[in-house]
Formats: sequence, C-alpha cells, structure tokens
Amino acid sequence: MANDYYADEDYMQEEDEWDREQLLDPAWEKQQKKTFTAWCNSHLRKAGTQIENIEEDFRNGLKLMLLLEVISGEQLPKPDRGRMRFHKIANVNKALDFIASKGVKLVSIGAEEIVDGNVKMTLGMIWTIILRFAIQDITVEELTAKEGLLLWCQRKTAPYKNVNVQNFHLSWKDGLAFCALIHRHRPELLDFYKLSRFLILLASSFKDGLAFCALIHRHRPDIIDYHSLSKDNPLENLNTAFDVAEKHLDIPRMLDPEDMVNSVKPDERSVMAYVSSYYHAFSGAQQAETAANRICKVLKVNQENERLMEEYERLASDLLAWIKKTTPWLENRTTDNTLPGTQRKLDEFRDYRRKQKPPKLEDKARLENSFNTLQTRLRLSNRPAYLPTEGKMVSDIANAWKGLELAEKGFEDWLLNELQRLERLDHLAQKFKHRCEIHEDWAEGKEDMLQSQDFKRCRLNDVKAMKKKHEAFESDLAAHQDRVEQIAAIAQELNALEYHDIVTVNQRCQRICEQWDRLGTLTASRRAALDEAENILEKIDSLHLEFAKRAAPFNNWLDGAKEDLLDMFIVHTTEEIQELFEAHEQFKSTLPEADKEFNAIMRLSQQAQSLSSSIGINNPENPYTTVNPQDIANKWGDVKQLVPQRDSILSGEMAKQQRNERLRREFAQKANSVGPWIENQLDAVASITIQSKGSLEDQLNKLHQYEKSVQQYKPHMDDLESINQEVQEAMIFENRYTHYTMETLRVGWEQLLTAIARNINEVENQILTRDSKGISEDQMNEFRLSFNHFDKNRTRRLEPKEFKACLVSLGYNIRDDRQGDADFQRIMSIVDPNHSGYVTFESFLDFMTRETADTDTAEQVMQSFKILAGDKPYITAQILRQELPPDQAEYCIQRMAPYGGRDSVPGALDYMSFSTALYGESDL
Amino acid sequence: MTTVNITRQSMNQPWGLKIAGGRDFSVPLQIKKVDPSSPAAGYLSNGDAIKAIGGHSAEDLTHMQAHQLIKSAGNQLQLTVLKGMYEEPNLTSLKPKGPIKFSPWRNKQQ
Repeated sequence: MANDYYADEDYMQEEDEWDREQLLDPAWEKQQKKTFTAWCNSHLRKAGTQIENIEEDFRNGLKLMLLLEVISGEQLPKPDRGRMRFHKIANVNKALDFIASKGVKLVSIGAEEIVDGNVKMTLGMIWTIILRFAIQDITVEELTAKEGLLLWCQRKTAPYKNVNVQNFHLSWKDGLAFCALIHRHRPELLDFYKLSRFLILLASSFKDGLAFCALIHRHRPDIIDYHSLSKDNPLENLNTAFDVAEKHLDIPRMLDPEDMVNSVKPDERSVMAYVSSYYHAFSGAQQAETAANRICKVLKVNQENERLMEEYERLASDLLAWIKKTTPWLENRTTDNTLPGTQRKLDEFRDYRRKQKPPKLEDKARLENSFNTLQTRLRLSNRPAYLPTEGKMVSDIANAWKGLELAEKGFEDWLLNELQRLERLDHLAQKFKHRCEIHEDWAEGKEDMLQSQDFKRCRLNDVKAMKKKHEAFESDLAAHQDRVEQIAAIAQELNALEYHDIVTVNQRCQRICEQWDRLGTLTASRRAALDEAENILEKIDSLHLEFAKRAAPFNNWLDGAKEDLLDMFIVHTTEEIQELFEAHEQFKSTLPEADKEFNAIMRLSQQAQSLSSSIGINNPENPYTTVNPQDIANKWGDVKQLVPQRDSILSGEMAKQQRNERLRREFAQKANSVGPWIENQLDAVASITIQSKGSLEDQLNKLHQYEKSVQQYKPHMDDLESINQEVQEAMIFENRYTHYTMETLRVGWEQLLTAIARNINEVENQILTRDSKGISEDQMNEFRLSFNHFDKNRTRRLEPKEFKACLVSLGYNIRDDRQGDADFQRIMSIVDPNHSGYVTFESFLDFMTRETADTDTAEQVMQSFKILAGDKPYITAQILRQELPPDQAEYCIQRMAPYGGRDSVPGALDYMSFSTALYGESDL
Repeated sequence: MTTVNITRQSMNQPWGLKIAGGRDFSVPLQIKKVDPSSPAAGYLSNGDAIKAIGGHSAEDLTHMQAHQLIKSAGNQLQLTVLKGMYEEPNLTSLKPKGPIKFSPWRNKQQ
C-alpha cells in the first residue's frame, strides 16, 4: 500500500510544478478552502463539532487530532491542554506523527507553519489526509489510488453515452458525471426527484441535463429522445446532483456549482475529495458488484469446462470411430494377386500414412492435452475430477491406437514383398509362354509326320534314309525331353506361387505333355514300321549323311543360342548385370568357331547339290535330316543379328542399375543427416524439462523455439519422402548405405512432434498451476528437483513406489508398516483419481500445493448469489439479467430450478441448489 | 448396509448433512459432512456411501434428484448407507512440519 501511495505522491509532485503558477490564482485557493472545509465537517460532525475557517480552526491542533480520530477510528495520544504556542506545536506534531505513522511522508509540512495559519501548508496537509484516508484505500484492479478512483468513475458512467470521465477537473464541469454516478447506484433518487422537472426542462430548451436524461432514458426510453440532447446546461446538472447527494446520500455540498462552471479548470484536488465521498457512499453497492464478479468468474470456469468436456468426448468419438474403421483394413493381408491391384493397395497405404494418419495423430495428442488441461482446470477450480464416458478414457484411446499401430506394423513390408513376388511370377509366366511357343513351333506337324505312310512307296534307299531320319528324330525327341520337363517345372512353380491365371497355364502345359506322350508312342510305332521295311530297302547318300550329322547338332546349337540371346532376366544389382555381361562375352568368343562350322556345313550341302546335279537329279532331298541348309542359314543370320541386340539390352539394364545405385546413395545421404538430427532434437527436448534450472517461461520459450525449428525442418522430411517414393517406384528393396528406413524416420519424426506438443502442454499446465496457486520460482524448483530425483527412467511420471520415496524425502511421515501403506493408498486416491497407476508432475504439484490454493467453494458462490438477491433465499430472472452479463445470466436461468420455499414468489429461482450442484455438493 | 431413520422437529430445521456426487458427476453419492448436534449427527458420518433414499435406490440418481428426494422427505428421512466407504483421507498428521525442503537421504535413514 505504501508503494502505491508514493507512486501517487510522485504523480502529485508533477502536478505541483504545474500548480505552482496556478496556486497564485485566488479562485483555486478559494475552491479548495470551500471543499476541504466541507469535507472536514462531513467527518467532524460525527464528533459533534464543525470548523468555520480552515486556516484558523486547526491552528491549536485539537480539532486536527479529533478529525484524525474520527476518520481513522483510532485513538491518538492525549492532547496538551495549554494555550501556549509550544502546546499548539506539540499537538500539531502529534497529528503529523500519526499521519507519518500511516506510512505517509510529509514533505516540507512543518507544525509551526500550521500553527501560524499558513493557508497553503494547511490545505496541503488536509489534502494529504484526504489522499491517505479517503482515496488510498480505493483499489480497483491494483492500480494506484488515483487511477483506481478514475477507473471506478469510468466504469460506473460507461453506460451514459455523453459522459466521458478522463480526469478530475474538466470532465466534471458540466455536472453530468455526478448525475450519472448517483443514478447508476440509486436510480430511484434521481427519477423521483427530477423526473417532472426535467420533462419541463426538455420541453423548453433541449439544451441541458443530458446525463439525467440519459438516466431517465435508460429506464423509460419511451419518454425521452436521448439523441436530441446536449450538455449545454451545466449549472442545472450540477445543482441537481449536489442537491440529491446532500439530501439522500448524506454527502455535504463541497463544491460550488458556479465555481465549477466559471473556473477555466476546476481544482483537481477538490473534485477528487468530493468524488471520493461518492465512492464511499456507494461502497455498499460495491459488494454486489464483487458478488456478481465472483459468480461470473465461477460460471465462466464452468462453461469453459463443459465446453472442454464436450470437445473431449467429440474428439474421442471421432478418433475411436476412425481407428475402428481403419484397423480392419490394415489387418486384411490379402490382395487380388495381380500387380496393378497390389500397386493400388500400396498407393492407398501411402495415402493413409502420409495424409490420413498424421492429422489423427495430432488429434490424439490434442485429446490427451485437453484432457490434462481439463483435469488441471478442474483441480484448480475445486471441481470433481472428470471421468470420460465408458470406453472413452485416455487409456482406451491409447489402447485402440496401439491396436492400430500393431495392425499397421509390417503392412508396407508385406505389400512390397507381395509386389516382388507378383513381379517374379509375372516374369516366370512370360518365360513359360516363351518356352511353350518354341516347343509348340517345334512340335507343329510332328504327329502328322510320324503317322505318314510315305515309306510304302519308296525305294529301299529312301526307306533306309527314312529310318536314319527317324533315328535322328528320336535323338531330337530325346533332346527335347529336357525342354518339356522345364516347361512342366515352370508350370509347377507357377502353381506353387499361385499365379492368378493358372488355369490357362495348366491347360497349355497339359496339352504339351499329352502331345509329348503321343509323340513317344508314335515314334515307337514308326520305328517298328521302318525296321520292318529295312530289310527291303537300303542305300544311303553318304554326303547327305555327313551333312545331317553335322547340321543337326549345329541346328540345335543355333536354337539354344537363339533362346539364350532372347532369354529374359531380372536383376537388382550392378554385380548381377555384370555377370550377365560376362556370360554374353564368353558366348561371343565362341562365334568364330561356329562360323567355321557353319561354312563347313554349307559346303557339304553345296557339294551334295552339285553331285546330284551331275547325275541329273535336281533338288535332291536329303533323306537323313529335316534340317535344310536354308533354315541353318536363316537361323545363323538371326543369331548374328541378335548378338548386338543383346548387347544393347544389357547396356540399358546396366544404366538402370547404376541409376538405382545413385538413388540409394541419395536416400542414404539425406537419411543419414535427417536421422541424427531428429535424435538430437528428441534428446534436447527431453532434457529441457528434466535438467533445466530456468523458469517455466524459459522452458516454454525454448520449447516454442524447438517447435519452430522442427516446423522449418519439415521440407527435409518431404524431400526424403519423395526420394523414397522414387526408390520404391524403381523397385529398390535394399540399401546398404544407411541403417535408416523411411519408416524409422517417420516414427522418429512423429515422436519428436508429439514430445514437443506434450512438453509445451505440461509446462503450460505447470504455469497455470503455479500462477493460480502463487508458488514461487524457488519452491517450484524444489518440487522439480525432488520429482526428477526419483524419476530415474526420465518418463516424467513416478511409479507409486517412487512417489512414496519422493514424499518421504520431502518430509512426509509415511511409515514403513501397514499403517504407512494405508496412508499412502489414501494419498494415491487423491493424486491419481483415475487409477492410471502413475503420478505426473502436474498432479504431484497439485498435491503439494493443494492447501494453499484459494479455490471457490459452493458456499462462496451461494453467498454471492445471496448478496445479489438482497438476502432472500431465491433470486429472479430479472435480477440475474440486471447483474450478470447476458451469457452467464441465461446460463443460470436455464439451469436454476424454481424455488419451492414457503416464502416463494412467482418466477423465484433456487440459487442454493444451483450453487451446490456446480460442485456436486449440497447442504441439506 | 445400514438403514437409518432420522427425524426433525420442523421443516425449517436443516438435517445437518452435506451430500456429494451423483451420476452426473461420475462420483458415487456420499455423505460429505455431518454437523454435530444436528438431527443427522450420530446416525451418519463423513464418507458413508448412500445406497437408498426413502426406499428409492440411489444407484442411478443425479445429484439434483438425490437432493430433491431428501428435500421432499418431510420430517422423517430414511437413508440406507454403507458406512465409511469414502472416508476422506486426513493427511495433516502425515505432512511435514515447517517449510517443505527436499533431502534425498531421508529415505536411507528410514
């Protein structure tokens, strides 16, 4: 309080400098003398005395001491009774000492000047007394006394539009402010006293009484057109206010209306002295305002809490519904067995992971935070703890979320594996098709050939040739055995891998196998037929024989080479493609040898041709082989063409593998910088609340800085995501350059976001608790120190055992026996009402400070309503609307039950049961 | 389970008890305070769980429903309670005397 007073003094000193010239103006001195005299008399009359002349009547100090006794209600030392000058000085000094003992510095006011009747000194002293005893105790929102009084006037006159109080001089000249003050508190006085007079006044001039008209207008808008008024008749206004104040409020006239109107600037101290009397006269009404404020505060807390509960329930329902909808989808590990279908599923999963899940994770964090905030708020406002609806507890949400993450785990790996499998399958199916085509080409017409009766009309020679030819076919057939077996093996593998179009594959395979069997049978029967004919026919063409001998293997080699050159492959590393390269190079190195063989075979054919020509046979058939030179020449041409084609396919694949390698390195480089960054941030965030000795605001600042830097870091994650997508699209499944995967980075990133949000919320709740309970920073550190000491695994939660040790270390007397266990259980029931099985720092803090908190109780709220209700046991909607803001008034009217007491009136509402119901408690 | 019958002289005399909780607060209905030398003194005590009011089961009552039932009981109030179910922990004897100061070795001494 003393500080406020000095602040005020400083302010007054500035005024003094300005006053110095003005004080020479006798009008001001006259006004102060008049006002201060009246002010002194308004108190002295309680002691049955008066003063006439302010500079004369205080000279002996006796009435001065009396004045101080009346206004302070305290006893001063016995006055000296003598009439000597030193007696007077002694008495004045006793008065001055008393003032000084109230914490007031009396700068340059001496007893001798008062005794000498110095006007300036006397007025200065009285002003000091007014300031200390009538104004200093006015506290509105912890402002200095003068500002407090000003704010009080501004609030009270706020509804009156043409009243604007800015100071304690000019703002009061037109008298409207005085009228407004009176009307605001005692409307009946002005209405009763002045209504008729003002109506006449309005009718005649429309110039004056603006404030009063405002007052009347407020109650009876039908009789006054407020907007047509002006403030041009101050004398009327001032007289009205001063009359009413004197007659009905017992405030003597301290100002002269003529002085107010005529002076350039009314004396500030006089106006303040007079206005302070209004404040004290209305301080009873102040009580109702305090009551209304308290109710308002409590109701606002309730409305906000209800809103938070609804929000929690809504968020929880939405989140649970989403989890319930999503989990089965993640648990379903089946595909339609096709590549496009599986790729679509992967796209859906990416969308889930990047677009759908992150906002839900935020929802979850928000849910937990708003739950904690709500519980803190409820504890701080002395309300029962909030229990969410069945199945919507924080733990339920956490469990459901855990279920979701469990279902999600491995989903992506499974999908990628599935993709890989399907791709391999597709490749295998192609291979199957290719081999079948080659085989079917070969088998084409073979059955007809084997069934042919051609040998019956032939010569011996021809038959012998036919037999040889057949033998050659048999070896060819044997050579094809491997191929058929390979086709069957591929079909079997496709079956084992559940290829989607297995029916077609099996049909084709079956057709080939059946034909193969038939060919075997037909070959045997033809051989028998030829054997039979062999006796009859013999002669062979040796030249043709030689051709056939060499052409057949060469032809086979050509078929094989062609097949190898068209062979399809799938590789994942540069090493694999390198191997294919080497194999191809080796193949190429055999080509010169093959070229020699080709030329030899061709020469044989040409020799046979020319030999036949020489004996007159054109186009002799070679009976030993079906391979004709033209085929060989064509195939050889094909092979030579296929070699460079193979070269370019292999080079293309090599380029692709090198690109993949670059992608791996690109991802690894980025991941190797992002990963450690996230880990460092996580460590740093965790260490803030654990190690920091700074204030909570410091911690909060730091956390906000981290939040910001994490937000700014987000583009790095986005970059990684797009690289990762490229990696996946390139079908790269392994990366030996980093141990980070996109999945581990995403999890780390989300942990970081969650940790920061949770820490911010916790620190904010601690600040809320600290501020509302007035805990010092030192005490806060003491609590934090002890809590952290026992929070060994840095989870910022204490297990019951740790919490017990913590309490003991803080001096709690919890014994190590059954009684101690029971005591501790009771403490746990307070600290952990939801039975979560651990103690957070917030609830620990709340427990340690629970008795120092100044909380609202049902009784306080009831008491406040009682003041508004004028001591009646019920309240009406009208009073509620008059005293409370509309929002809170309607809240009460909707919820209050009708009052059922015997003294009830129509529309009476039961505020008692309402108040108790707010806290879940009733006195009966 | 105990059933008590409490009587009072007139409707103007309070029963002298405070009830707390109800379905709408998710807190079981219970006796919170009993004024000594009131009609309820001796019959009820702090922490008793309220199971029935005038034969009406209290299980699903909201706070105001319970409040109204007791209000409308006239001069005869019948309550069925479970004694001492929610006794408020009295922790004053456990609290440290003087300012709270952290000393970790206290645990080791014990």
